[in-house]
Amino acid sequence: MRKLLLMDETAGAADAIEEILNIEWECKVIRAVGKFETENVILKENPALVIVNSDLPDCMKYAENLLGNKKFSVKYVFIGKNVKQSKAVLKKFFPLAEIDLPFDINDFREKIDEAFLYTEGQVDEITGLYKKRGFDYKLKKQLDKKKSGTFFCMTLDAYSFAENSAPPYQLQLAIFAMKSKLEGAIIGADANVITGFIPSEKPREEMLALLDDTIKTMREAAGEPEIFISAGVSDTQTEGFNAEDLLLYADKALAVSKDYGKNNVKYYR
Amino acid sequence: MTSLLLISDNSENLNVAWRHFCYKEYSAGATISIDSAMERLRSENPPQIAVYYRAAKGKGFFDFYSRLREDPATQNIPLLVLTDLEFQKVLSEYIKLKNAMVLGISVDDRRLMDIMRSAARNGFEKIQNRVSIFDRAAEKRKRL
Repeated sequence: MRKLLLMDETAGAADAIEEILNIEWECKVIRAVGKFETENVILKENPALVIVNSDLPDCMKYAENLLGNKKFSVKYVFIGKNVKQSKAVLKKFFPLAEIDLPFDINDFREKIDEAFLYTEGQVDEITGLYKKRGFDYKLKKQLDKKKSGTFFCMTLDAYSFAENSAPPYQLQLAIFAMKSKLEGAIIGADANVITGFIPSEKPREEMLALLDDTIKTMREAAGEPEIFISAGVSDTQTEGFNAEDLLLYADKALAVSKDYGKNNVKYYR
Repeated sequence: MTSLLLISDNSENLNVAWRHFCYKEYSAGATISIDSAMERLRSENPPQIAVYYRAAKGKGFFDFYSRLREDPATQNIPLLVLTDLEFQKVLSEYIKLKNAMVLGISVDDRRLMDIMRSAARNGFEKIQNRVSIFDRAAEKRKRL
């Protein structure tokens, strides 16, 4: 069960947040405000996240107190009116998320879920892409809702990668370019293999054009030495909503695309 | 006549909430199950307004709200939430509700009737916009 500590004086807020989060997954919300109360809860319950209401000066004071205590390594999420504009808070605490009040229930749940995945080590810290378990979890959530989309499997290759055992900087540049191009997509990475799901109901031709364009942008961003990208694609419109099948089909299409040469995108047929 | 569906998490709360709506003005149904509420709201002739009565420490409101707004057939149905002061404060300060209005349990029945009549015609978004215009005007007057 996921656990979080809420530093907020408003009566009823903890119950409401717990109810909102428990719609999709189990989460225990513990409310604490005072210095000793918060420290005790962290020692006893070991919550993965601490949500702080930045509108309340007392809560901010105790959050700063926690930050200064080397015994605790706390991951923060801030809520408040205009919290996103509070640069001082963001600089000091490096929160995993900032949520303006009042929030939309789905947005809130999504951001907290994301923050939990980060604390659970399911998000790559440098690129922000999901690791295997995080990716499977996010994908399952999307497909359970029967949201249509396109699934892709991509490999990034370069001659220089084989000589260099450290994660190549070029790969990161290409990934950042991909993320900006495919906004709203769920993307996971395992070494030089990238899998992703783009929620969209657009026809095949448009998705192929989008992926072609993405590959071009990624290669440009990576610069020299040249990298080669191949991709295989499948979609929910023709193949259904089984994540495993979709991954397999995209992988098969990837093998075919590699047979056709470098920098190709092929649909599974 | 305004048709409405009264929803709550248990039958005792429904009985308490009922007193607000036992007038000729309303034709009302009631349920304590979210599944059955969604079924009725999805039907061919759905009620004009959904009313959720949430007493202290009640559970299930957010589940109902999420389902109501996620379903394309019910996402535009106006929602009235009758609740205690504590939850009213939480809802107004923390949660962005779409096409919904939150009122205290002690609301005057005549005022409620006016609100329901207007919501049945235009939903709650227009009413709230109008209220905020009045609020802004009042604030301006105060400043002057």
